[in-house]
Amino acid sequence: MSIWFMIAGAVAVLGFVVIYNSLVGRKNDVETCWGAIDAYFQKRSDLIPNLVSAVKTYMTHEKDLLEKIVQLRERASRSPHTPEESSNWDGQTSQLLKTIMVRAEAYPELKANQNFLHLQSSLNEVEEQLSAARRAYNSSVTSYNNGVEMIPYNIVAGIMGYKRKAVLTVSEAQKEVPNLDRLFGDRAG
Amino acid sequence: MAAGIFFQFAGKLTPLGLLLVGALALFNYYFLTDERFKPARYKASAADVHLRGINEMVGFIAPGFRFTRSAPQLDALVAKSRLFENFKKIEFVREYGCIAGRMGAADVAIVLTRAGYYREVTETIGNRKVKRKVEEICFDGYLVLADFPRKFDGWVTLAPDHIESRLGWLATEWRELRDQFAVRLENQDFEREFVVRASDPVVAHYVLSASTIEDVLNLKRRLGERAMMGAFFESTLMLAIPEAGTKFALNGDEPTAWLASCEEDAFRLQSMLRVLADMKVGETIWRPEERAG
Repeated sequence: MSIWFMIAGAVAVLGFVVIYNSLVGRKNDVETCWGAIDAYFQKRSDLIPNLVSAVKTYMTHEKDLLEKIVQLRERASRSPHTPEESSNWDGQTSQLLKTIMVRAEAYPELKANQNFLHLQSSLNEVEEQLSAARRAYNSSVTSYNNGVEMIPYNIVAGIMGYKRKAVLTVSEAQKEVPNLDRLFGDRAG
Repeated sequence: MAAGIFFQFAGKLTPLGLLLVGALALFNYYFLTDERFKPARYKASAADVHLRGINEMVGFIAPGFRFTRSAPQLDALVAKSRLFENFKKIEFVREYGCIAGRMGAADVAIVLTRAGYYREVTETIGNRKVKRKVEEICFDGYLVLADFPRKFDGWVTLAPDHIESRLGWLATEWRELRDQFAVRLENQDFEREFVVRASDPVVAHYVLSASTIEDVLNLKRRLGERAMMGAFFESTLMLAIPEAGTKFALNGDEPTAWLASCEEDAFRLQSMLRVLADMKVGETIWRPEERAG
């Protein structure tokens, strides 16, 4: 009888170790993916001053827009980057960058500027990488959340104090498509 | 014609006549149509005509593309791609034809390839046991190589998933425990069809964007049951499409069969090029000097 207890105990310990390692692995995956997002945020932030200096001589009418994006960048570099906090200013930055790119269409000299074109392609590239990093983060969070909630993982997760994490969602600002009529209407009028 | 002359003189078909017709047919078969008895000049010109025929077809389907019997050596590239890493040890890669051309800004090559490994077998000859190596083919088909329109550091591979469709989430859990490179993507259909492995999950998501996933799934649907594989490395896309068909092979004995197979080859080539076009392989999103750097 005692042998059976020992076997059951060994199986339970082995199961605990496997589940524990799996959960730790998933948690670390989430943190790694968040690290990648943070690195891309930084990369994008580093491009903003160059973009502003490249466009400010041409886009004299868009002073407010440029000031706004610089302020947003400074605020972002001061505040800690947690997934919950980042969603809002990330969305706003993306939207402002999109608006600058759309408004640049109205400045033919700017569009012919090689430096601006290079910055534009770099920003597009970073945005694509950022989007991939967000998808990777969400995928790792889903895997982690499955681990935290599924039986028997949830028992070990409860002991370890692991809780559900929120996936990154697209903010309202990001969903909004730049209104071309509004952007160019004033100039046309 | 010979039979006609015979009947002209004989007037009617006698048993001797039948025998002579049979003999003539046999003569015709052995000495006029058999490859062994054809002069070298004829054989060379047949191969040349065959090559020209294929190139006509290739040029019609994909202007600017050409078929050649000499193909680039892919051993090093296949090793770098990790394409076959997940399922079999590959000891040889043989190329026996290539369709190459340019698609927009990208170079594209469709290489007819056979890859496999050596297996040692023991045979008994009389009282002696003789060991010899036999070739085991793991892959026979097309390797499609193209510039991928994304620049990234790392690698991503796609392999057919034979387990998940049977075991469901258990297979996924097992893979997560034992394979540190396994990556999960958000598309459930894609997850059921393929196992994705990557050096970094972010790279996998970057390479396999939602549209690329759809393109790969469409290609898989076109191929049906065939186990397609894929690899992305150093801005290169490599697709492995198994195909045990004729693959532009010269069949001098059966020219009509070859013509029929040409139609299938044309369809496959068209499908592959359509997929590459869907994946926008000809459009680079980085500047050439960046890539060189």
